[in-house]
Amino acid sequence: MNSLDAGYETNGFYDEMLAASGRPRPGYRRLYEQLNRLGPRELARRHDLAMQMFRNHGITFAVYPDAEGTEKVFPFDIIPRVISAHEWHRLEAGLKQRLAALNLFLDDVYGRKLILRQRAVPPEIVLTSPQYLREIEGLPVPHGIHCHIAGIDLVRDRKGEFFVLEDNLRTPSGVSYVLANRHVMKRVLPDLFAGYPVRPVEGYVHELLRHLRWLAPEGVDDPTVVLLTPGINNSAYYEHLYLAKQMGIELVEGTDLVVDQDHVFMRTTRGLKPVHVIYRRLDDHWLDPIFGRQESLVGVAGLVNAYRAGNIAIANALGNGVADDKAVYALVPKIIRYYLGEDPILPNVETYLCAFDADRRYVLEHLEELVVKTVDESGGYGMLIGPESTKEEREDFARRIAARPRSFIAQPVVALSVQPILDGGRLRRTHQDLRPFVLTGPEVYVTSGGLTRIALKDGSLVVNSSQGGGSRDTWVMAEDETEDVDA
Amino acid sequence: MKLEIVHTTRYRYSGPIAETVMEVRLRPMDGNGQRCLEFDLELSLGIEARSYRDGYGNNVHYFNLIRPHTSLTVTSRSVVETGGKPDADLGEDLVHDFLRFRSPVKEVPGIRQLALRHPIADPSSGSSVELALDELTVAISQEFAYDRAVTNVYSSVDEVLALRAGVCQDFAHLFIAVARTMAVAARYVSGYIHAPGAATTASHAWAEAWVPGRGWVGYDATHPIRAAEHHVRLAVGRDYTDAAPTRGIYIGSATGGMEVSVRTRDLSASH
Amino acid sequence: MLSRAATSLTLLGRHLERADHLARILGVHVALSLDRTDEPGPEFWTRFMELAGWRGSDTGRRDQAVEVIVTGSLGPSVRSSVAAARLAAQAVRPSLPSELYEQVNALHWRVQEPTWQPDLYPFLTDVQLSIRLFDGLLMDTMQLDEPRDFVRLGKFIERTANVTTIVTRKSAELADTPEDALEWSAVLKSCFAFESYQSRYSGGVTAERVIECLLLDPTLPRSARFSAQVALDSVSRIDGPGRHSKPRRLLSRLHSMFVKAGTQLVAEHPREFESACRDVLRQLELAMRATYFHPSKVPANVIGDEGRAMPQQ
Repeated sequence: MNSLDAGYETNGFYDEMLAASGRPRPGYRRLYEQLNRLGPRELARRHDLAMQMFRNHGITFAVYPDAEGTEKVFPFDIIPRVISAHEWHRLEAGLKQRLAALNLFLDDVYGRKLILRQRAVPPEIVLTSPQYLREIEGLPVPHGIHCHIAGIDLVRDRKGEFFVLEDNLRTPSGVSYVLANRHVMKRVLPDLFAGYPVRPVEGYVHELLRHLRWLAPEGVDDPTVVLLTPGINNSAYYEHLYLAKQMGIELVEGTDLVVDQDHVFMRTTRGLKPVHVIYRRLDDHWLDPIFGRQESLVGVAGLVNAYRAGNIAIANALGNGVADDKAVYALVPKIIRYYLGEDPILPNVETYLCAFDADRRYVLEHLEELVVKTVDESGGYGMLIGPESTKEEREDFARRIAARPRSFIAQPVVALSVQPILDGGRLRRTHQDLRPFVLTGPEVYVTSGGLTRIALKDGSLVVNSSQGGGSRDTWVMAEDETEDVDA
Repeated sequence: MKLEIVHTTRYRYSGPIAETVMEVRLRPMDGNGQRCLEFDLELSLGIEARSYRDGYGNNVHYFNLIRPHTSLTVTSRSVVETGGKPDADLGEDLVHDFLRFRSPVKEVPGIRQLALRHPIADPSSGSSVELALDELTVAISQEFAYDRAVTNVYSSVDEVLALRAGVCQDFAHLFIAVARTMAVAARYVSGYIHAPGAATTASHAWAEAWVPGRGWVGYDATHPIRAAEHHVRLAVGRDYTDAAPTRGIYIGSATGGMEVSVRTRDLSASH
Repeated sequence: MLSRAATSLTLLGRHLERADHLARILGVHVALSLDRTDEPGPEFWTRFMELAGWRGSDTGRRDQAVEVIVTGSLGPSVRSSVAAARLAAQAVRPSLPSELYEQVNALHWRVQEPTWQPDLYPFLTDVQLSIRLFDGLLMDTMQLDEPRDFVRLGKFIERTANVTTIVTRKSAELADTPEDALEWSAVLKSCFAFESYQSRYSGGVTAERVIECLLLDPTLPRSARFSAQVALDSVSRIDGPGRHSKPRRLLSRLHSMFVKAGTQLVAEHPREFESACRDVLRQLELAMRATYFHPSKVPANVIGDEGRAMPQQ
């Protein structure tokens, strides 16, 4: 592939597609040959086709609601990521284990608090999380499932080992891209699929709807499920729209619902229609002006009390933020051991909690080598990347850490794995991560693969959509040919 | 002491409104020396309320009305026994969330200065903590003026610091902010205070701090005293918003007004 | 379907129809003003502005009128109507096929640009054709279900009102002078009915025949009677058999006004007829809101400034 990979360097990062020799890894061999056969011009043409399909399909997003109302298509690379069946088997087991433990943790923390009483994890970390909602203690949670839909961010280090980077247990987004990417790839590059037993991903929609219907209160034969969105100004609105359409459920906003005598209804042209399950993409604090922020115009007054009365199911449940708090993240290996008596299958990235004196001292002394993150924010903001920072930035962070230690954690820089993207006819390395989605319901279901997010800016480690990221299709093999199994 | 309290809130609107959704925290709490002997909640328009206990242990009643209305009255009547012995069982000291800052209880320089003036000699000693908090209570009452006209129900502590004045809600928030800066878990208490000799009583707010070995101890920075048998606890929380006696929304284009009256009778004399 | 969605779909239909109508009557009246031997006085334009829905306007010149009707923000204009239609379309994206939304969105951005200067006619034609395309897409791609019916309902109620207004106003203004043929032709052209009229009536353009054609003809798609029938059909489908909602009864009443009216009656008492129609339309608006739409578009308010805790002293 002289025309395609001339000048491609990996700089010591783990390249998912190309081994150190520059030859493709076993699982990518056939793909590599196909890409070469098509050549850069044809691939560029297929890429343009793909982007057009995304636009027509309505898969767009808004970073900040554009005054012009033009939505942007999420950047996409046509080279898929390949994960062997063998590798996936381990990842899936690790994800299921992690979610099982996190659900038990949430149930315990908002219930009997045994893990805290026994000091198996420090209460001063868990209870001081800004997302810990004491007000929901004692709220009955059907089946003890708090997190019905999770998005777990995985990364690979220099040796190609998978780590969990972050848990997202409240309103994780991105699965619409997983579905759309595959839909487009099948139409734009069908030949690439030849010889690859790729596991389908469209089952997710069916499974999600099945899980949601299963949550309905007892005695309801044909439950009405809705997706509650904050509305068009939310950056993930187009995912809400897409999922609602795919599942064939109504997309509602707060003003469309009303609670009367602890029952939830939808305002329709034929009067009030009962609602039984809400898949909500609204933050806890905005969900119900009686429960959370009174000025919330996007919520439904009385919803939480209707939930308490057992008349409406809500996915995800309230209060999950305490478990995806970045400081509590550091405690998850202990949490897994406590509830399941097992060692974690998927390791955490080493994390320093500035709330602890020893950790804080270490962090302040090694700021240039670490990534410092605030506990409360997402989207990659409020972060210091040590090796790329200026002295002023480090001093600023040092001040902030000293003032509010509990709000900061630090991790060594993870050398995220890379994979080439096709950029102007040539291959260019970009970092990527993986976000599988996990559904916990009657069973636990994991998307085959998940969303691979790529950092488009050269050398950037930041993959979030709000900061110039993109994605590619992720293929999990249904089975491996013996020679495809990578060391 | 045995007190009877009748608390009436009347909402009036300039025109019919479509919906009201409300929660009230008007039933006095049990525990820590207080016992609610009788309680009755009456709502106008034939509305029935349901109830539950929230995560703070508060007694909550809630209701909604979905037909047009122009007024709404909520009347509670309680008979409370106060001044009893504090609970023997302190329960778990899992109170760390009461160390967190969140508007209106903010962590600002003025608060830190106040905290520095009342250092706790030995944080693990209950009496050491109580001493510092007693001093803090007095300091707040002396350095801040009681004034109803300067703050409102949404005022945060930095505004109170700038104005050097407020009402008991603000004094309670101030106390809580300083206590948390001193690494003492503190919470807001909404309730009543019975002024001896006065015919009526008003709603009142003060704070409670978690003292090692003693549990939740009440501090009233308005008067300044420790909370005692003249104080009746209705609800607790991180700040006013968690413990507000009533909260709710209405849907309609009319403007609303509210009248509150609270009357108390001391029943202890009559036996 | 969701009440909020029904509201927006009706508004979408209504505002696109309004934009189409404004573009049309503007084009026709500009042409009319050029068809005379001398420049028409300011009353021509003030009357036109009133017809377009601007009360108490002091616009007395052609260029002023063009500017206001194309870009005005304080009253009905092509730009403001298309913007309102787009806002409504955005609110109901889940209910609309994507091509429909894209069509409205694209039109909106074109209309926002100052492309109408200096070539007014290509601009107005583009607006009308785009709306025609939207209609076509709607009829061709949308399922025969509530969403489609609400769009049609809004559109045809608006059309009924506009046609009635223009015919009755002109009837009141014009008083059997020889120039009236030109004016009446303008009325026909404003309603897209000039050619249909010509093919039906061979004796020239007269007031009574125009009234008959535009208000009372059941077969002409642009007539008020036809439009009222379409609106009635839409609401009957929305209601389903056995449900006779207030909007349905009111539309039935409106429709029968056009069935029973005689051309002479309308010609002699145009203002009364217009007033009677407006009355029914007003009631219809309220009835639709009560029956189908979101009961209160007013956001929730926080109750009281409660519990300002203060001791007695």
